Amino acid sequence: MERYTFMKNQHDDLVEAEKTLEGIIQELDTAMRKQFAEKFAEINREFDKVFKELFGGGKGTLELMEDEDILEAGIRIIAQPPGKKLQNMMQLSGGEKALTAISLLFAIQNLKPSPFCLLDEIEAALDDSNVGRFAKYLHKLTKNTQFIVITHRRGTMEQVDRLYGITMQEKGVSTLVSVNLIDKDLTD
Amino acid sequence: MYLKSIEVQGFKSFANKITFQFHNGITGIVGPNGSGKSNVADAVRWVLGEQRVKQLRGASMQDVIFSGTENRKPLSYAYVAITLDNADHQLAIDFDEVTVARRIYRSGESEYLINGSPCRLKDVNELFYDTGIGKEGYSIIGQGQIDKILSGKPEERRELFDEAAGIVKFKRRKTAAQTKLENEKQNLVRVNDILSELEKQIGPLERQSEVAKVYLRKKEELKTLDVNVFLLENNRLREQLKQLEEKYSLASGELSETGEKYEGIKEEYERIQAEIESLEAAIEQARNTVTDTGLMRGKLEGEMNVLKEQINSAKGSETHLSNRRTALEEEIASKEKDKEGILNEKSATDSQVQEIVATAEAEKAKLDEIQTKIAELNNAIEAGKNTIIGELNQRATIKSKMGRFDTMMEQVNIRKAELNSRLLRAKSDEAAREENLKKLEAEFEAVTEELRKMTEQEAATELELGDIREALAKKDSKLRETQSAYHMEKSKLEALSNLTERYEGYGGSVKKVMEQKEKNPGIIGVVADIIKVEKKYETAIETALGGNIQNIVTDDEETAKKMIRFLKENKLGRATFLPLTSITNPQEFKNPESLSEKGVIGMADELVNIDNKYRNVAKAMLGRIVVVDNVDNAVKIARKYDYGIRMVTLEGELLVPGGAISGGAFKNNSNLLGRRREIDELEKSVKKLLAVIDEVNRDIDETKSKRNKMRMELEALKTDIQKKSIEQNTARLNISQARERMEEEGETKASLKLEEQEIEGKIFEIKNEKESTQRELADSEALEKSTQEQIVQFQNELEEQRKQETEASALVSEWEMKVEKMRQTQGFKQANVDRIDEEIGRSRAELAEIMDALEENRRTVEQKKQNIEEIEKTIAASYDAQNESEGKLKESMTRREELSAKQKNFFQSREEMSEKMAALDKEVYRLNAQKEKLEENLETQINYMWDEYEITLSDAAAIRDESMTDLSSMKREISSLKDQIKKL
Repeated sequence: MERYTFMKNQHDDLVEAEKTLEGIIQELDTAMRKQFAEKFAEINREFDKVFKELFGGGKGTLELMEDEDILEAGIRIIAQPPGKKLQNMMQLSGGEKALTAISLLFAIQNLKPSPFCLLDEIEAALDDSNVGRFAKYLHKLTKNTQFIVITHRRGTMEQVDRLYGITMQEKGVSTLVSVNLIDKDLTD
Repeated sequence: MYLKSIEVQGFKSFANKITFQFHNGITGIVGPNGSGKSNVADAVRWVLGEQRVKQLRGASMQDVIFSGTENRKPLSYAYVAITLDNADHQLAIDFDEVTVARRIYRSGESEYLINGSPCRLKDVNELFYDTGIGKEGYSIIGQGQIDKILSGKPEERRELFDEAAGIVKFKRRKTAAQTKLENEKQNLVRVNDILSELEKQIGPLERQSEVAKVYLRKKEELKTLDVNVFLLENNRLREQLKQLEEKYSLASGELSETGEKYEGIKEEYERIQAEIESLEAAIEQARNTVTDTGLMRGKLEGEMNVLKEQINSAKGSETHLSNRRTALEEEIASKEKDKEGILNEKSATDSQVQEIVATAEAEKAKLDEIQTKIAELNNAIEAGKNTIIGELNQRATIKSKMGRFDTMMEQVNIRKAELNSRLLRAKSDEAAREENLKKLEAEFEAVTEELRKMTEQEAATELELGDIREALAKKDSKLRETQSAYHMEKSKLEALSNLTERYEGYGGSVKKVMEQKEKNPGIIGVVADIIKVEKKYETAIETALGGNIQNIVTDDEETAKKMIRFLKENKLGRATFLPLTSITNPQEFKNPESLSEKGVIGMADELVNIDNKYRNVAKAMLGRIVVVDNVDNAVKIARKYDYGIRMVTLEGELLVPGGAISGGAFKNNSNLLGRRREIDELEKSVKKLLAVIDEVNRDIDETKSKRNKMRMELEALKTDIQKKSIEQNTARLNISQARERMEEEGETKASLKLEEQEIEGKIFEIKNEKESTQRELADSEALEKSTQEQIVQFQNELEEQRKQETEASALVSEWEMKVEKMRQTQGFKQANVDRIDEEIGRSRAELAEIMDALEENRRTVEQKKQNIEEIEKTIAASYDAQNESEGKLKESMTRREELSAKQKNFFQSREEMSEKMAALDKEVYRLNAQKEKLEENLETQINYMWDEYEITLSDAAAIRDESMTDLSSMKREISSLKDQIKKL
């Protein structure tokens, strides 16, 4: 009899807990939807701005896939480099693709700067003038973010404050050669 | 927050420990392909918890450990640490600097460390939540990530956006909540199962509770009995326990007494034992003392003998030393005497030496003087020669200088000639330029004038164009007005034509007949169709015609008949027909005189216009009707002709024979006659308007073409103006350039003149310098000559001095030899004195030594004698000590014998005591054991009471039933109750 009462109580507790949890999930869901919609609009605006700056014109847009839940929906990137017609990412050239992706990353960095950022040869596919723009923009972002850039491109090297060189003096073993820009010209 | 450093050891190609220091701003990492740059990025990604081996470009996690090369062994672990500056506390951790490290061993063990303390991967992830750092974030971007953003499916970009939008933590929380919810649901299902099971069991349980109640009653009975038994038993046990305790205290008292006695004996025994031991030690000591004293004595006697021997030998050496002293004193005395003699000799020699040295020095001084003079002369000659060489050198310099002056002069002259020619050229150029400038200015003026004219023309053309535009606007408005008038008239005309064609206003029968006109060409038309009237007569004629106006005119009777038949057959009504063939001879007017009456206008048939072939029709219908201007005149005429004439007025009053007058106005004037006239008028008007439109259009076209032409002209003019402006600008530019050039030339000329002046100055300067240099040359030559003469004089003097020097130096050497000889003698003497002094010193030292030795000898003998005395005393004392020790020894031994005998008695009594104690001990133990057993029984009973009924002893006393005293019957009752309970 006692056990019955005890179980009954527990049953009631469980039903209560279930309701509370559902409430929490509902709340989280609403908050997430709101926040994501806001942030997505912001990122979209910023993306367009950065796109224009890096491409020297044109237009970049982000779109959520229609008919899907906003929290699960895929995201489409649509780019229009200056003087070309609007097209999906797939139709862009390699360099344009890379620069579009960089625009997106920079847009996000602008809105929500991460304390540091490590870039591993992401500008390898760009031509010299785009590398220049890329590096200049990078410089703009250093106010909020520290950058560590692994690179091959002279345009980028010219914009960095400090350089580390890595070589393999002994086969298979990396060694460090510190090169400070002030100390040595970029001749090697 | 920023990344301060990365430390890598054994990670991929970083075999050695390497530390990268970073600062704010941009740090670049460069290097050739395959040098391991990307491994830096991999290291950071790895330390932040990368689990996907593919991302690290390996096949298994152990692949990140340095795997060795030809020259190096593989390492056993890989270690990466990153240090972040957390001064702004952006990371939720209470440190200003955070180091996150990860280590992996070849065995597969792996660990994470935050600031050196081990932690889980989850802690690392939580540390970096929502900072953008982390393997999912956008802080480490490699070639792969870029590709993923680009080519991946739209869904794959979500992660990046979720992180950027900051909803990752929400998502995580949501998932957690969902998992929890799932668990809760499962729990609920389980609880529900249990609940339904329990509900099934409730019935049987109630039956059980009945049984339990009986059980409880029985149990209560049992309890009362049990408790009473317990109390009785308890009392009994307590009684027993008391007795036991008395016995126990007796036995233990005896035991402790015996123990004390035993202890006393033991102590006494120990005291004696200690005494014996101390006695034995004393005996041993005394024996040792006796032996030691004997040994010491022997040693001391030997020492004494040695000392005596030493005294003897000291005495022997004393005599030897005294002899030696006497010999030495004699020797010293003889040597002092020798020294005296030598010293006397030496002082004589010393005075001699002084004399000779003085002479030699005087000679030497003379020689020195001569040599000084020679040196002076030599110097003077040298100086003279130097002067001459210097002068020669200077002259060479001067000569070259003069040569340079000549070339300079030449160059300056050339430059001057050049300047002159340039100046001349500049002058001529200037004239040409001025002319050119004038020409250019004239050109500019001309162009400007032309341009002005053109501009004027342009303005005029613009003005004209404005006029044309205005005129055109006027014409356009006129055209529009005319057109609207035209359209109005035209639509009116069309409306009227329609009315006419459809015979609107005619009777139904007439309309039907007229519809047949196409099929029957014999139908000519209604009367109104064939009669035309001026407007002023319209009302009159229409009134005159009356209903006849709707009569239908046909060519012959046949047609009329046919139509009548048509009307009849179709029951379309009636109509009057006027066949031309039948109306041939109308009645004549009977009162032609009335036509001259006042107000008469004429016969009605004559006032209408009609084709001649219809003249008869007109006559038939209107031939006897007079038209009068107004009703007053008409009435007068009627009266005059007895009301026998049919008359109409222009106003439409009708006076018929017989005197009736009808008049007034039609309510709905169909005006069948006026309609046709109106159509004619409208047609005319339309035609006219069309003509006007055409004309205006033509006019507009003309104006427009004129305007276009003017526009083109204006365009051309503007182009010309443009061209001219350019020409003007060119001209202006040319002028300004020419002016500038002239200014430049002027400047050049000025500078040329300045240079000329400078050159003149230079020429003057050079001349001056040349003159002064020539003077210098002459001076220098004179100086050389005088110096040469001086040198010759000095050389003669030198010759003389040299001779004197030779003589003087011979004299000096002679004297110096003498001095040397004397000095030798002197030195010899001194050496002798020194030697004797030394010998005396040596003898004296020996003497002092001997005296010391003698003294020492004496003191030693004394000392040794004292020693011998002391030793003798010690020996005597030692005999006494030995005797005393022997006495003591004997005494100690007797005492020890006594004590040993006493000790033997103790052993026996101790043995007895020990036995007695053992017996008592056993008794005490037995009693104690019994007591414990009783206490245990008591305890068991109390526990049983507590376990079974939860009552204490005092509680039980309350339930005591005094009637129950028989223990055995009570126990029987208890066992029967227990049986009953068991059955339940």
